[in-house]
Amino acid sequence: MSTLEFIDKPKCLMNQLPKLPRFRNLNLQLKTPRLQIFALLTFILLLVATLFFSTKLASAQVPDPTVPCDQIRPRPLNPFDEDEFHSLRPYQASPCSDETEPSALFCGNDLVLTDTITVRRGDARYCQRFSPTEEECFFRVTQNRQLAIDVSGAELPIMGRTEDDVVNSQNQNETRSDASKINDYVSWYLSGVDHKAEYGFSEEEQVVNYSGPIRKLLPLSIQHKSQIETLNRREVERHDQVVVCANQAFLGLIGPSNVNPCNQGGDVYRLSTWAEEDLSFWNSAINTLENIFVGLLPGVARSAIRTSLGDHWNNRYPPLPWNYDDDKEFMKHYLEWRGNSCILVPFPPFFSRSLFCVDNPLVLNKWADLFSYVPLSSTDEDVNSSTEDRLGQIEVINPSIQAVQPDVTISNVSILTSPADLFFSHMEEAQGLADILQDTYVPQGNPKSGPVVGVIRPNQYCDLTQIRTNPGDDLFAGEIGVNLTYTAEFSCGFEVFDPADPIDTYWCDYLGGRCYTDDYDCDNWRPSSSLICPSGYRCGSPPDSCNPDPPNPSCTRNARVVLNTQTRTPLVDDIWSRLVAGGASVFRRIFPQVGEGAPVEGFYDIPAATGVTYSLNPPVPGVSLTAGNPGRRRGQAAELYFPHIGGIEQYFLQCIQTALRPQGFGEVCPVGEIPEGLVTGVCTNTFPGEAEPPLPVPGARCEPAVAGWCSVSTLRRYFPPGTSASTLRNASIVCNIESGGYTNALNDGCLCGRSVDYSVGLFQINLLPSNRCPGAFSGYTWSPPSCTINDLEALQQCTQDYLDPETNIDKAVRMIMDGQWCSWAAARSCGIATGC
Amino acid sequence: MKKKLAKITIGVIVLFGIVLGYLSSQTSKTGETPTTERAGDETGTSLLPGADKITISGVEMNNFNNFAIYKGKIGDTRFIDEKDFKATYFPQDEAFLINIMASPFDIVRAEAELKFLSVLSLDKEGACKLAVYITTPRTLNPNEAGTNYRLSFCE
Repeated sequence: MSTLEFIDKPKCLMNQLPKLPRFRNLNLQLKTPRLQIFALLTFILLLVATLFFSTKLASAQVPDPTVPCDQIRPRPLNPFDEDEFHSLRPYQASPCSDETEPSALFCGNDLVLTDTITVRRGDARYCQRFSPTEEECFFRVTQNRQLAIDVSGAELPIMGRTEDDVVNSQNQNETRSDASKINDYVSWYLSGVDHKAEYGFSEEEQVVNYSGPIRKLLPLSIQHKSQIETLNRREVERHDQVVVCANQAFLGLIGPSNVNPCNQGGDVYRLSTWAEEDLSFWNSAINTLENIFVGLLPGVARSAIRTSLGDHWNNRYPPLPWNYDDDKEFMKHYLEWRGNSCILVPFPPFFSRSLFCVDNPLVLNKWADLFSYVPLSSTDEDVNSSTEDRLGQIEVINPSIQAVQPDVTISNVSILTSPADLFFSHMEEAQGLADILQDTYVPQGNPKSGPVVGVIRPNQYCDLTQIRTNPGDDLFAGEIGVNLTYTAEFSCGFEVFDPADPIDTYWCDYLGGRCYTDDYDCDNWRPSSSLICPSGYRCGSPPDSCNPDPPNPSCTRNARVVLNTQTRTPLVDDIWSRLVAGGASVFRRIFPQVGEGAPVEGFYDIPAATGVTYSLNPPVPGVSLTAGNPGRRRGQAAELYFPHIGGIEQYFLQCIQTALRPQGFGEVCPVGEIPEGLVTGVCTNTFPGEAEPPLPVPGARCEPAVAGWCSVSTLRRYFPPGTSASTLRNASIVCNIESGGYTNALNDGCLCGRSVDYSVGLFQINLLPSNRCPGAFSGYTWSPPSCTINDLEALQQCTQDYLDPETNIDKAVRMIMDGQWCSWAAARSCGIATGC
Repeated sequence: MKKKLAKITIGVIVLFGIVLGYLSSQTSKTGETPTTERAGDETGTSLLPGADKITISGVEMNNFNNFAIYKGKIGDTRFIDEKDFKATYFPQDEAFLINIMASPFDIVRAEAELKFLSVLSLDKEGACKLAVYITTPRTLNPNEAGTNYRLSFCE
């Protein structure tokens, strides 16, 4: 489109040429058009060169300013080269959502700011002489620092790679092999290397060997549904990105489509190209005519004629078979989408219909031919599968300040910090593609992510013994803001200022002055000479201008501000659960049993790391910054850590392949002993207190709920008629204490040794007793508190059931009517249950 | 002559049809082309955006139905779903319930109250006219569980 516009403009100028010459001289008239043509050509060349070079300049600025989700970045000559970076990350650092949750936290570097406080004696509040020659001066200094810590060089490893050694809009030299992309990166593995705008036509080897599991496993019609979902999500959850670049064989207008790498030109096809326009004007015309004619016919025949002769498929995306009652009507539409014109001919008396189609040159085949380049999206509305960035952060936790020297007292401390944004690429994409992959085996309606089991977490928070890393995509980290205010009080020792008295000499007196040491300041100083004043003195004049000039020595103290950082990595828990550690994960599809005696006894929860550089921007005199690694330092260089991603690389990208190969081939999965004392689970609630949650303190009020699910008025509906008011009131009290009326309350403390609880919902129904959720747990212990999950799917189902408020209340009603008040700690503490 | 007339008539009709088809295809370009309906579009009309403001107990506030996160079986509408606290409206009680899901209670409560005011665009005076109760589960805040707290600035 832009190319056509470009050609049109010179034509218009050329048409105006004959009108321009107004010279009477014939020779000039003959020469002038040539000159004008020459000037015009020169102008065009300059214009092209300007556009070309301006493009190159723009290309160096990555990323460009944020592009809103409903906008694209057009480029006049070659839209792909400038406007989008890579089809797997078209708009760097331009997320469609500013949401950072759900995210997982992981420790980061300890940033240490050293603030140097320099004072001079003259600034002292007061001084005390503690010897004839020394004094101690006391200072109170209020420091106010506005600091910006620039975070640069951080990349997100393992999840994807679109930079440097991979072809993108700014780099045409690919040095990373297809095998490496597939083996080392989640995004490439799931989406495959084929059907990418950067590479044009997919080679046979790419389709056979490197197309990834989804394209191979998913039926075509399901892929189509997934691709249509992508079209629907454009400009809302993802940019209207370039899908493919192609030219049609004959004059660029008709014939088969030749797919080009987008940097080599061709018509650019975006998501909207398929979503917003009709398949062909021919089908529009036929359908319109058919509607006119059919409208004149009796009502009975209309439907039959419409489905047989008319109703030509006129969308650029394909029909989906489950929307049809009759397979032949689906095939008619499908073949029409592929560029045919079809009719369904009925044959009386049985009225079976036969499909007749002819390839119609007025209905272009290219929409169907190129549709396979449209990326896939999950059809779960809660799962975003886009190639957009997702916002994460580096945030400061527990900032503290301490003096370096012991004599410094620091008070009135205020440390306000603001997090630095991180733009995580490939997280939404990996989550969505994992969801699609899970669709191939998880029964409809069953959860695909959730609690993880069999995970061996690091001994201590941030005690890192192993990590995984590789070159990734830039996180475009921002700045950590620090607003630091504090008051420092300290003292410094100085020599007492005691200038020597002036002395009189003949010659200096003759010159109108006296001899002074350098501790004095005079209006005029005579040339220094041993004849005028003795050594160490100078002749100053006039004497009444000379006064003692006390020095103002300086003193330095340091305050050290420690900023513990943590990274907030979006979606990573969910991806970890879907791909590796969850009950319905892809990894567990290959290794269904994880536990003692099984080939895989547990998962090491391995983080990923990337190098990072912290610097003060702009530099602030007197303030220095160092960054160290927490826990057992892996090295001196600063690093960022991302939870689970190393484990995803280890188990999803490597171990699955090893499992599918003959013995001895492929990478070896990590082998080791499960450390003693580690609980192989993770709790969803963060309860920092004792192992067993304490009962309410004596005297605490035991109020029935006054609103919501736990209120007496709501509970009354679920109790048998005639239930006493006191029973209803007591039930309301228990419900109110146990859950606070929050229907999704979950205390899974047994998974992490916190308590003997897997308690769910309003009344916190504990599922550990074997009759509550048969088969879910193989056992539990009281000391230490623990439980062993036997059937995760059963547990997830029971959890889901009891999170339903009505199911939960029904269960509680049965327990109450059976007199089982003692089951609830709340009932015991409030005196409702006695004799327990 | 009649044959010629018939041919011309058919030709005009076909031409007319083509023009109509072209016009209709141009018209369809301007609109969205929804294909398969999103599941979320079928989850009840109560989540559909309505008026910007609603009035409860005589207090005007932002219509939380427009940004509701969850709609329960008794019409309970959850409109704040932070990790540390949730807020739900119960129409039968004309009351709001704020669940504190983290500790320390006082700090999270203060944060939840601020968010509540902010999301509903309420001032403190207006909020105090509403029935707002703050609760927490025993597991998370054993000393505060079992009490129906009011907004701290109303106490």
